[in-house]
Amino acid sequence: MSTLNRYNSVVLSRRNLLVATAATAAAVAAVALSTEQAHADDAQTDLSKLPRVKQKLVAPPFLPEHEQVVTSGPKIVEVTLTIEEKKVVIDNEGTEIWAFAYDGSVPGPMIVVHEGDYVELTLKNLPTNLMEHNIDFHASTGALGGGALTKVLPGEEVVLRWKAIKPGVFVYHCAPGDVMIPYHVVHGMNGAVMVLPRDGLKDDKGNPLKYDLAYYIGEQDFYIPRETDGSFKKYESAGEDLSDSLDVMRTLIPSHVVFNGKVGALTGENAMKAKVGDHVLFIHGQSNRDSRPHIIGGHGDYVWETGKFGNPPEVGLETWFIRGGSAGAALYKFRQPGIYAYVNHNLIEAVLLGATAHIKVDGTWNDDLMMQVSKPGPMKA
Amino acid sequence: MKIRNILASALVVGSLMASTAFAETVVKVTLIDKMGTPDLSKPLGLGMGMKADMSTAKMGININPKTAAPGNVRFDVTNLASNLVHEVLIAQITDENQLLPFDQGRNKVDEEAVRSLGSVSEIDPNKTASLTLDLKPGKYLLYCNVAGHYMAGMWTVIEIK
Repeated sequence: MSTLNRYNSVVLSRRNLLVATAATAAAVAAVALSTEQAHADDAQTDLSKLPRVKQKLVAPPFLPEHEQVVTSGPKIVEVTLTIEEKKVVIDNEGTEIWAFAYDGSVPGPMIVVHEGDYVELTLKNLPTNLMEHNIDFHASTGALGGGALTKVLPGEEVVLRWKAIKPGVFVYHCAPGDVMIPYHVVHGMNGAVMVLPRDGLKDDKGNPLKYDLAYYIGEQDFYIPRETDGSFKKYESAGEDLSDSLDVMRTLIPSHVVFNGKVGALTGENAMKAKVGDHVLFIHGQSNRDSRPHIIGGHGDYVWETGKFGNPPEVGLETWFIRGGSAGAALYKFRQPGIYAYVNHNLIEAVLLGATAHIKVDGTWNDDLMMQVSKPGPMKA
Repeated sequence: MKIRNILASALVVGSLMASTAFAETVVKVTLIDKMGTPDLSKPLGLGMGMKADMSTAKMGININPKTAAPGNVRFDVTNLASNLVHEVLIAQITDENQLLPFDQGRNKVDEEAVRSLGSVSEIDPNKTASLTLDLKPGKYLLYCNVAGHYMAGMWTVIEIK
């Protein structure tokens, strides 16, 4: 006796697929066209003459070594991202997810270039993986952000080059098509690119700004399915959770909202560090869902809320808004020592779902900025 | 009479549900595509019993767990392939060294010679479907019989014991 049922139906899936296919075809056609046009009015860069540099990527919250201001001409910056489907623990209760991780980390590493540089990415999909992946760079132009030109099956690699023409911080993420787009993104498959102006960051009046340190906070919403007893489900291999995950994703209610892939990944011993007087650039990326970073006890001195350095920064902000599918940047000079909490100021998400980081700042306390005038004691009549 | 019938059928349903809940083993099945776009016009020689290097397989079926207890087994099948429609047929075999009757011309397992116990047909990419079979101890083959897929490595074996 057999019973057959289809319990996972996405009503518009065929239509979606068609639309996506049409978009892909159009994008590819557009690529071909633009290449021809580029050649036609080409007083442009001879790529063979450009210097090539390899950028060694590092796991967030750190950034690769880079200059803030460059005086030389454009470069081709070679980077490699290796995609790994791996089981990771996302909280202190042992909750697991089979994450899809660019270079093995959630979020994927930050890439840093300057406006006018070229990013030449080698994207590798490990043969032990089970799924097709790709990458959509919001900082790039055309072909669905490169998504249409970077689809790789397990065991394959592809090379994509794109020119960084828009300065700012941008997210990148996997977008293999249909329901796999959000499914991959909420399995950790996203990261960020920073395209610095060649002459560096500027304040709202056009004066140069420098940072002493930079951290990349990648915020991730997870949608972990539950057993009937309420505990989180576990799976033996990547992709087994597809149907269950889609059911949770449809509720739009995440089970976890975390920084750097795990509850507590940037707190306590793992806190970000700075000294009083340091100007620290915080880059906040969220590829799927809105967020609202806030430094408890501090501010954003200069904030590019939409993350794009072609716009003057706002000054002296309390909390800033990160639109889902974008990255923003905030520069802050620490003026007091102590532990600061860097949170998503939806405090339910910060405290109950995990979106809290710490910054440990060393230095000397400034009584002028704040002092406890009298200690807590009995109320006076 | 009517009320008694309703009660009786409710009881039957209740006991069926209870026995299903206790006896059913869930096996997660994922259908995957690997390297490149294989030429499926000719058999690729990666079928069961052919002693091929399965690390070169262009397609595959993963199952968890790889063994299950006799009784009702529910196969939750997820097609992780991004473009290809797959299917899953289930047939009892003697062992993994057995060669299946194969139709070279159509590049498919000869389904008339291999009795199928059940199947999940035409699963679109990213979709899931399930199939429940009452299985006795033994070995069972799960395979995709879309032309060329079986010989591209799209099969696996589950043991019921």
